[in-house]
Amino acid sequence: MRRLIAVIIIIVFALFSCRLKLPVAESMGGVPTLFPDYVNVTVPVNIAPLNFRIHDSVPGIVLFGYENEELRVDTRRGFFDIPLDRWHGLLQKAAGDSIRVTLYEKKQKGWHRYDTFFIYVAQEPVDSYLVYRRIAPGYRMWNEMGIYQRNLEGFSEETIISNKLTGNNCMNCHSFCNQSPESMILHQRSSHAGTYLITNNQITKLNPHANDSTSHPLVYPYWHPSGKYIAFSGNDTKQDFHLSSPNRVEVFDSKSDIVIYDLERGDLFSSSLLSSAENMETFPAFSPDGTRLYFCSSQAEQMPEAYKKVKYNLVSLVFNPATRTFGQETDTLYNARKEGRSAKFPRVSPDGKYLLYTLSDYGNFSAWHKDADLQLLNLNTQEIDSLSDVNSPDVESYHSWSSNSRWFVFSSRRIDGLYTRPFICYISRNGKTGKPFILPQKDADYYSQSLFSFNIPEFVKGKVEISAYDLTKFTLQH
Amino acid sequence: MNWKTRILWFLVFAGLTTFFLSFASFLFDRQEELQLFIPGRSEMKTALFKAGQPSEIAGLYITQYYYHPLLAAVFNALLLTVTGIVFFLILQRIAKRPYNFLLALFPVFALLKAHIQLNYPVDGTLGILVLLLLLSAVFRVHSSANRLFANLLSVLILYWFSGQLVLFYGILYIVTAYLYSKKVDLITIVPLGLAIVLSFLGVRYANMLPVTDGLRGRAYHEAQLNSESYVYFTWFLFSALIVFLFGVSWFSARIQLEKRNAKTYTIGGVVVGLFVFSGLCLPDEYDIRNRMMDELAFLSRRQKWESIIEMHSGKKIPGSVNLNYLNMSLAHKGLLGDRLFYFDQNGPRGLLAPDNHTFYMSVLLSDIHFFIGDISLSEGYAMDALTLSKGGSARVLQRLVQISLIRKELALAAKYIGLLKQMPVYRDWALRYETYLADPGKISQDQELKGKYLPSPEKDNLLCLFDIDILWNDHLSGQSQARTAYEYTGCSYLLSKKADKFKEFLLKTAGSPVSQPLPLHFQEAALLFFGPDTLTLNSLNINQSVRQRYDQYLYQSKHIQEQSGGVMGLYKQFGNTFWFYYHFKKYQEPS
Repeated sequence: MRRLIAVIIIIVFALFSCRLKLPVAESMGGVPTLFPDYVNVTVPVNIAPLNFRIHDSVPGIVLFGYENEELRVDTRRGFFDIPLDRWHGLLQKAAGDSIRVTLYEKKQKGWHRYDTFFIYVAQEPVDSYLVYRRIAPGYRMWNEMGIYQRNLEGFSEETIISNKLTGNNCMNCHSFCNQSPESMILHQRSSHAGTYLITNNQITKLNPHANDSTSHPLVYPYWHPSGKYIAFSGNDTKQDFHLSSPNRVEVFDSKSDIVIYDLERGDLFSSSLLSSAENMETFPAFSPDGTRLYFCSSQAEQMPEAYKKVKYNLVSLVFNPATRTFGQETDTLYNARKEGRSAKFPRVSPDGKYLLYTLSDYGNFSAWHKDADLQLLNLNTQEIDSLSDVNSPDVESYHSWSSNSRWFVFSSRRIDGLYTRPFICYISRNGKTGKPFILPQKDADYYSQSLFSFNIPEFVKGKVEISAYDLTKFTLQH
Repeated sequence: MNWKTRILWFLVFAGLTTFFLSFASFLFDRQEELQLFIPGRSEMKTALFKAGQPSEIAGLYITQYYYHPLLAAVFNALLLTVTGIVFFLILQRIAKRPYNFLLALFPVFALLKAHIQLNYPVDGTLGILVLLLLLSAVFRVHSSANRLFANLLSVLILYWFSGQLVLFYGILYIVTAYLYSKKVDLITIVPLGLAIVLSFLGVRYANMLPVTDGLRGRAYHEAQLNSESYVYFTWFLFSALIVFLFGVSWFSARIQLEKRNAKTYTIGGVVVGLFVFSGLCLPDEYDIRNRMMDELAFLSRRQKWESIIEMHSGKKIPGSVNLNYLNMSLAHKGLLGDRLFYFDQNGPRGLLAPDNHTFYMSVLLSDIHFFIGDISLSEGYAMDALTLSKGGSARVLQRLVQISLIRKELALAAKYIGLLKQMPVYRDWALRYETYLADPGKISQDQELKGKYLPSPEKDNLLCLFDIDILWNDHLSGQSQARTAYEYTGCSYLLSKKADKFKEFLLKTAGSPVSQPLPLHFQEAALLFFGPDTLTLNSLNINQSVRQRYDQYLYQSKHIQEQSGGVMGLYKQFGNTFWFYYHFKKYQEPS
């Protein structure tokens, strides 16, 4: 018996020795092509493993190394599934530095080794959850959709609400106050229509007073940092197809205004500068100190005929939250007429230093504009960074900041030109950005296989605790 | 089961196969169109570990082979036959009676009715079969403790496989146990208790639809994009039927069949009941109408244009959708302008029916626009169809591959091709199109893509700012697509009786290669609209025979009151001309 045990131990040891030994490999030169592309990206110290695949379904080995620490992952069919705990251990050790990555691939004539590349590990963590809507990139119709929360430190995803349980209605525009999971709103359209507010696990349906002046549905929201107000744009939105533009679809407003909803009083208020008939005002966003409202404004045009003439300025207006009053004139940060393009989605970093916005040739709905790119305005120096290392030839659109201002997430169609994916990007204190990386998935092939887009990615500091069951039940009853 | 019963069940199987093959092949084909089974998708991998999802995955796996009509018919027949056999065996355990075979046919007919509905997925019956198998297996266990264990295990297995179906299992188990052993004790109720707890947990924590959704009416389920509630609805009906049949079995077991009259009456009663019930389960008028639509989709998908034309020859055409298929088929055969009025046309909607936001119409409109060369419109409808499908549609992905290649969006085409390559039915097609990714120059040589292009960006505008005829007119300068667009444009004016538009169109295109030869109905319209303008008519190459026929038409229509048959007489002679359509056909204007 003892002999048998000894033999088994020797065999197991021999097998593991063989397995751990690196193959003799010919150097390929150049870095490998991975999907998703994680070569030389900058990641937060708490991010989930960057699982990836190589082009061919062949055996491979990847070595992640930091100082003397090494993490080896083997694959038989080209998919690397990195163990969660060991990955996090390595990230912790390499925080503020970089992990070297060496890939071996077994070709027909033997093993090949690529040049080592790096994954830079920022010390600053990213908020631990990302909330998004997942929906097919339909043009006129919708079917299956839901708002989901994803734990960024692992791969678990939970449903906040799914339209499977609410009669296939439309749901959108989820928004959080200061990235807090305890203060959230979302809209539902069609059946069970309304704006639902979730604060400290209590759900209420917003019910503006009957005499409130907005005639359009409340659309793009932004919370005041105090949590007392939510700015909304009310938009009369339509969409249509292009005959031959690569942009495929055009979404445009015929009218739009901005209103502020007072959560304590339950009423709406506005200013003539936010709701003029001559202009279309949209995409409100408060400054982190709550004393300024940023938004986009364009001269109203005859729509849809003049859709290409519509170009939005990026402006701001002083706001006094104590008196609910606004300044008498707007400050223009981006002058569309002068600069020739159209600004949208202003978002100020929580530290108040930067304003991230989208710029495209015209219009306000940049999610379909291949020319849409992110721009970074330094609010102290007024310098604009065109973020050439972050943008791609395809759409970059909706974006939001992490609570520590060191990360932002944005939507991009850069992978296949149609399906929107969330990319996370590092920005240092002095405004230098890292190479963005796509939200990692357990299955490296996830984005190749999925026929769904990720809309409105929003960082959240923790898990939204309200259950899908309770939220669904409430919306069905109200 | 003796050999006689085996033969009877074989006959049932053969009958069902024949029925499905003759009646439901087209429906199965559409069910295949509506789904996408890609085993590599992570959603599918994870679904296997989610309660209630494995049956759905199994259903998708099976449905992908519905592309082959015989395979689909045999599988559905087999599934229903096996379900019937298992139910028969359960009845035999309650009481061996000669009419058990007949009783076991009731659920077969009930499921047959469900299987000829588009929105009913096969996973509903897979779940039912597993339920019956578990029920049958549990009653083979004799010791109470073992049976309790087997029961709890069955509940867990069924919950994993089909989710909320466990509730029905719990109820059916109690009924069966009572009939089988004449007692209901605590141990009998435990499985239902567990089922209720699991069902509640599923709704509370796993986003399962509550089973009560199945209690809504059939119309509600047919309108839902999600087929889950339809499955619940069927489970309710099936379970109620099973309870009823158990009751019948139990009650008739009390009758002394040794007495000849009793036996005759009982069997006779069951036969009559089965006859009436089967009548209710056979296809009704609505199913037959749907079958015609399914057949059109089936034939169109396989480019059987002659068959579609043949289907409508000499018949009253029920609606715009039929006309869309018919006219597209005529256009594919190059006969739209020559044979349009040989069929019962009913306004411009016969070329493009209004979109009713269903998968079916979205696919049809996408096909028509693609054929004419309206790439953006075709893509829009294809994306609508993809959205309205159940997680995707291979057929629609094929169209999107073609459109992406025309758009030169190779990364997107590669994504769709990558998905199609994983599906056995579409692998060869995907591999053929994959060659275009490496060599995009070959795209223009593809039989279906040849001549199709996206207009230059300078011509771009929003489609709501174009009338459809302006869009089609733009294709006239193209090459292989031009004739189709030419015929569709001219026919749209003829169908809407827009004389001025047609005259302008005809003069603009006169003499151009695309107008040669001038379609028959265009010649007829020219004679009607240009009347005495012989100079113009001479420039249009009107056939002498058409001129002579027009003269006859004019003569006879002037003397219509004198003719014995009146308008009908004129119709018999000239019903296949534009002249008759123009003067006598009334249709509803599109809103």
